[in-house]
Amino acid sequence: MRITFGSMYREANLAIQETSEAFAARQREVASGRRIGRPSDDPSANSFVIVEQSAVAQTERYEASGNSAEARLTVMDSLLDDLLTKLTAARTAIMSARGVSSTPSTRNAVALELAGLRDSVLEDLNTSFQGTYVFGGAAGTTVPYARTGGGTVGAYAGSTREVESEIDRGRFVAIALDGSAIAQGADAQDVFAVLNDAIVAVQAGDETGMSAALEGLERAFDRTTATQSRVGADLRSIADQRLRLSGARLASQAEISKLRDANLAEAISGMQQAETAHQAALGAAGRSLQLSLWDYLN
Amino acid sequence: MAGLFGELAMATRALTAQQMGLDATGQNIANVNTPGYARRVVTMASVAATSALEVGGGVTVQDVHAVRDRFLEARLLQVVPAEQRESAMADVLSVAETSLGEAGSSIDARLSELFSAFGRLADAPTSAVARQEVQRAATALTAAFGDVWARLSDARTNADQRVRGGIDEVNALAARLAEVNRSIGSAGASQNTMHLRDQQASLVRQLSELVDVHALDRGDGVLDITIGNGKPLVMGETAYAITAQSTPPSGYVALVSGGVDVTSQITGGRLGGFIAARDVTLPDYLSRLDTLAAAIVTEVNTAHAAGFDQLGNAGGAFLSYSNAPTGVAGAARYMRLDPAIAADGRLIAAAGVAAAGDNTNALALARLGDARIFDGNTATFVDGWSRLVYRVGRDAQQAADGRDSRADVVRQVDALRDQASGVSLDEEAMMMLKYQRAYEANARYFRVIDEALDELFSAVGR
Repeated sequence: MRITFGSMYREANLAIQETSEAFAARQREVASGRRIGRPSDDPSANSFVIVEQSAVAQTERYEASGNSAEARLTVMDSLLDDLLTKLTAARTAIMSARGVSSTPSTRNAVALELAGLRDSVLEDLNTSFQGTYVFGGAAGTTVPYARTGGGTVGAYAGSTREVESEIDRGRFVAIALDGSAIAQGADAQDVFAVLNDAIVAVQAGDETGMSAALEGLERAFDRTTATQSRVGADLRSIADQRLRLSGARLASQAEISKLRDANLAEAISGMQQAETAHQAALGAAGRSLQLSLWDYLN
Repeated sequence: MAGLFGELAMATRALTAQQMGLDATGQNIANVNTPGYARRVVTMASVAATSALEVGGGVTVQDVHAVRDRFLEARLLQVVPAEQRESAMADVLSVAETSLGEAGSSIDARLSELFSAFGRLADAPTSAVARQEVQRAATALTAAFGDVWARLSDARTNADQRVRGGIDEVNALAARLAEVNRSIGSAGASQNTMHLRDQQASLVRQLSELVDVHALDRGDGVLDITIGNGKPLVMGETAYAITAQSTPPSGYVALVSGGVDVTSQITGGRLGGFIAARDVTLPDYLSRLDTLAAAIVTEVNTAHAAGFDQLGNAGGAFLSYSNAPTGVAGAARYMRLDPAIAADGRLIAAAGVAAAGDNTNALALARLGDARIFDGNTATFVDGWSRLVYRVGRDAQQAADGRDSRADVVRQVDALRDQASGVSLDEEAMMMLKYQRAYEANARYFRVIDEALDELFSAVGR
């Protein structure tokens, strides 16, 4: 086999180019910390990384929705708690005004207390959080119960349609409740009318009226308790989903890292090997291209 | 017996023969790096004796020829165009795959951002900030589609420019080949045409790097070259130039030979690679990108139209086109956030009913992000994008692998050709020594005969 100068040069040049490319590729891997720099490095892994990153983004969206809903539900829970306190106080006040021992002055005092409690309940049900009313349903920015003057409160102006937030795929929690379902439910009149009737009954010493008011407040209390239970369940659900979503996100991120990121120990070792191979190619080229019979001719 | 004068003539012939050997060695060393050069070999033969009492007439140069292996040179014409095609394709696809951007920072990320923005709007449907975020994310998504479309189109235009440049090169090489053919054809039988054959081989090799050519030797060294389905490029002394014609509406160049469009017939060489990338591969990617963009526009608009905006009106178009696409062609280029939505975020239809605080439609829009509604309901939009990225990556990988493996084949054939035709400097050093020593010996012999004649003339003179 004839070995020509041209073929020796070509082979040496190719070996230098190939080892140089391999060294540069390893250098890139070590410097960037990534195994995949472009789709052709590993098309299927790169494609999987794209899908998995989208899944991470989706999970983060659900986590953000969960966090936002949690803040809102916490406010809601606190308001419902306050509402229960007010309803209990109203019932206690009405009961204190009953019986033969009550005097007009004590009944007037109770009536004033009931008016104050009515206003507090109104404030609770008209609370807004981050620009929308918590108990206004889908109406959003419309005040659920407007004060119409003379201590009366207008009809529910919010929406009976609740607003839900998706905190995981197919898992929803209500973030704006139907206030009328709490204040009135299936009753003929809302809690404000009940309290106004109670004030009149207390002032008049009307036992029947006070009994009716107590029953109305009892039902309002039950509705509020049921709503608070639901809010509490949703809050627990958010906490559970957060754990699950966090686990899913971490698993996806680990998978992405496994596919995309370089194993640094392996990459550095590979770079050293590539450097050695490159040095060997340079050395071999330098030696083989220098060897010539011409050096031995005088 | 030839006598002393005959021997003197024999020594002279021998000196001439060894000198030719030295000439060939010098020529070989001088052309060690000349492309297409085939090493020269001097064939010597002994001169027969003229009578039974003679030893022989010495040596004569029978032939000086270039060592060529026609089979290997023909084989190179087959493997070089295939290698160069893959190389050109790998070049274009390498640009194309970088056009798509990195995973997590391209259209995939913009898609996730848009559907996350819809999700945030669902969390706060009356929030002006959430609506601005949807506007921003949608604008970023349409810009990302436009950018990728532009970069892929640039790659296509770049491939077209390479084709244009290649046509000029092909024509220049064809003209030079025709000129070499003319010189070979007009040379007499006694004229040395080896240097012309070297040039011819080099030119054909260069041509085969650009297009797949078929070469036919007429027998006298003149080559006829055809391209495509037998279209003549060089016929003897005549070169048939390829004309570059711009074709509407793209303006991309078509290769016309003898009035016939031969573009689709050019399947090998760098031109073949660039043409395939320009006319087949890149348009396929652009079409897939357009299909994805059109599907996003359709699905998002359908969902958006099912809702109500913050003013209580039914939802209009969320995305639109700055220019109407033809079918889906141009969808990625022209898609944009509808100007009405861009001007007034309140027109985003987040509500499922005419209630400002409702968010059911925003939820429905957010859910499009992981809905399998693309590609025959088998993929999400991000899946669709990842499939396109996969295809480009796989094609680029295959082109690079193809280029490398075909380069190996070319290298092997080149090495085989070199074994036969290449110049070995060590071999030439030995040949030089061989001819030098032979020359010295013959010169010595000449001197001996000359001295013998001198002696003879001296004796006669006495």
